[in-house]
Amino acid sequence: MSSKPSATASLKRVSTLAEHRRELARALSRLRAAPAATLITLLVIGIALLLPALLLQLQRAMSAGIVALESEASISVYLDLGVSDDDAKRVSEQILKLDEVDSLEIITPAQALAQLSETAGLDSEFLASFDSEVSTRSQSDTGDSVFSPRNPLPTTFLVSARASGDDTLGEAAERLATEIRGVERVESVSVEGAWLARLQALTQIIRRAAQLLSLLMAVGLLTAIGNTIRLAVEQRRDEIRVSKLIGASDGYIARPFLYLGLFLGIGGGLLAWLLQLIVVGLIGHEIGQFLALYAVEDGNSRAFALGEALQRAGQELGLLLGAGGLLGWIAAVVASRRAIAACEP
Amino acid sequence: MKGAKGYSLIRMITFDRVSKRYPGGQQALANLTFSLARGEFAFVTGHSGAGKSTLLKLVLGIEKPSGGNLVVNGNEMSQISPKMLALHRRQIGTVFQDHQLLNDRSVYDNVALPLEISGLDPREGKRRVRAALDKVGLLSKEKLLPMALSGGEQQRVGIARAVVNTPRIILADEPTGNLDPELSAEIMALFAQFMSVGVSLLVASHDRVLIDGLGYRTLTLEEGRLSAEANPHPAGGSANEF
Repeated sequence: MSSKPSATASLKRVSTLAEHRRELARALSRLRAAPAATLITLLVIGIALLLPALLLQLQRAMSAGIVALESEASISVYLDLGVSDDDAKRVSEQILKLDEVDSLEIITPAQALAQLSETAGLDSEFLASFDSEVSTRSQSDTGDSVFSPRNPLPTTFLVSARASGDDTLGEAAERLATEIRGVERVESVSVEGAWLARLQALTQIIRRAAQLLSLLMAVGLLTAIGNTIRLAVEQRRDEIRVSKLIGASDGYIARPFLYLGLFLGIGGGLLAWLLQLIVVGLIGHEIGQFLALYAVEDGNSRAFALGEALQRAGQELGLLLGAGGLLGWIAAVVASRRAIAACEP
Repeated sequence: MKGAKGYSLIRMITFDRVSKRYPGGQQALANLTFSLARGEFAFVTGHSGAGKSTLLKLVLGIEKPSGGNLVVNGNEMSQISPKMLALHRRQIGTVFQDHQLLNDRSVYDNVALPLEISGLDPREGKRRVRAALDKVGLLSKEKLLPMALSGGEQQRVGIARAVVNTPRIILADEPTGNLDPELSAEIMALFAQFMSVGVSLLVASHDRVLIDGLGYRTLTLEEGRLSAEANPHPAGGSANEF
């Protein structure tokens, strides 16, 4: 056939762009023809995209706060009572040799007591009654025994941890604390950032949940859009049959349905974005308060600062439109191919 | 074929011992052999169930032959790919017995459909659609939906759609079934015009009066076999004028 002159080949063909524009208009008119069904489908797609998007946004707000706080992850090390300052120095040198240690500050019992009195507002007389070195029981002239209490505070090290390798600072701090507990003369160790590690773990869980939910929602969306496309094809069964009889290729017949899928996906993405703005507007304040409980003010205020919020909104919009459009297109390609092949004259 | 010059040398449709058996076991066509030249007109006649529709379906590629060799417009029909089949059908104008119009599109849009599928510029298409509608006398009804037309008018919309793309082959299944004798004669005259520019026509009909009156080549089918072939004039007679 290709060797023979074709009746149509010599005719002026419309440009592919104009052809696509015409199909686009037709696909849009089909959406308008069934506004209720279109709206319901869009709503389903929008909500399906909204849930993972919200989780991801929450996770991002929390991560931002945590990054700002991570530098504060520190460990308090309490030595046995009665350890001399020289011994304390030796213990501190031992701890400084550990890998994860960033810095170490020694607080002697005397310093601790001074600090305590300062913050508690105790007078110097009361302080003087403590013998910082040894507890003594002196015999007075009268024979009464006077109780002179010894300093009850231990030598304390403030150790700050340093992240190494893939570990987060919280994980590094936890490991360092375990190592320090094994050091001689160390009475107890407390990780100030333990709550931080928990917050980090929670953030991880939210992120994993968002990823899993995204995957499930993607499958659900493919099915929902695919089904809508299949119904649209079936509604046009007669038209497709006739078109095939007069020489329309499957690709030509599929084109408006592919646009339909693309529109549904992008429209659903846009709807998800708008819904997300509303939801964040409604519960954003509560999320901020929740983060503030963990002293994540820094990250909190950053997450909701206007400039950054706008930039993030733009990113979210792009992501949602992209994800929706891609899923809509894929669903339409698969569903329309099968449905159109089934419409044989 | 009998003419020694002109279009008649080129075979547009060649049935070579073609048979068609449907999955149910029904033998629709058996050992059918004939050919149609370029610019030739042939009626296919016979009782209903004799295989007329099956014959047209094979040419259009709706059905595939179960035996023998069928070549249409250079395409071996038993091996044609889906992509080639679409191109193949664009070269054939088909008038369906049940019209096969799209009821949600205007008369104009129905006739424009083959041009749209071929990717023709709509402005160029407009002229052609108008011309085709004018030929079947429906230019004044181009904006109506097919449902608003009578059976005969719908038939003529189908005819306009079949000829709008200047096909190489026109297939027609009872194209004058709903038309009065006067209109039938007009449609036949329109077909003759196409024949004169080298279009091959295969028209299934059992309108004996019409067939006998025109005196074209006539293939008579009986239970899927070619039972008689009348050839009053040399095939492609009008084409020989060129």
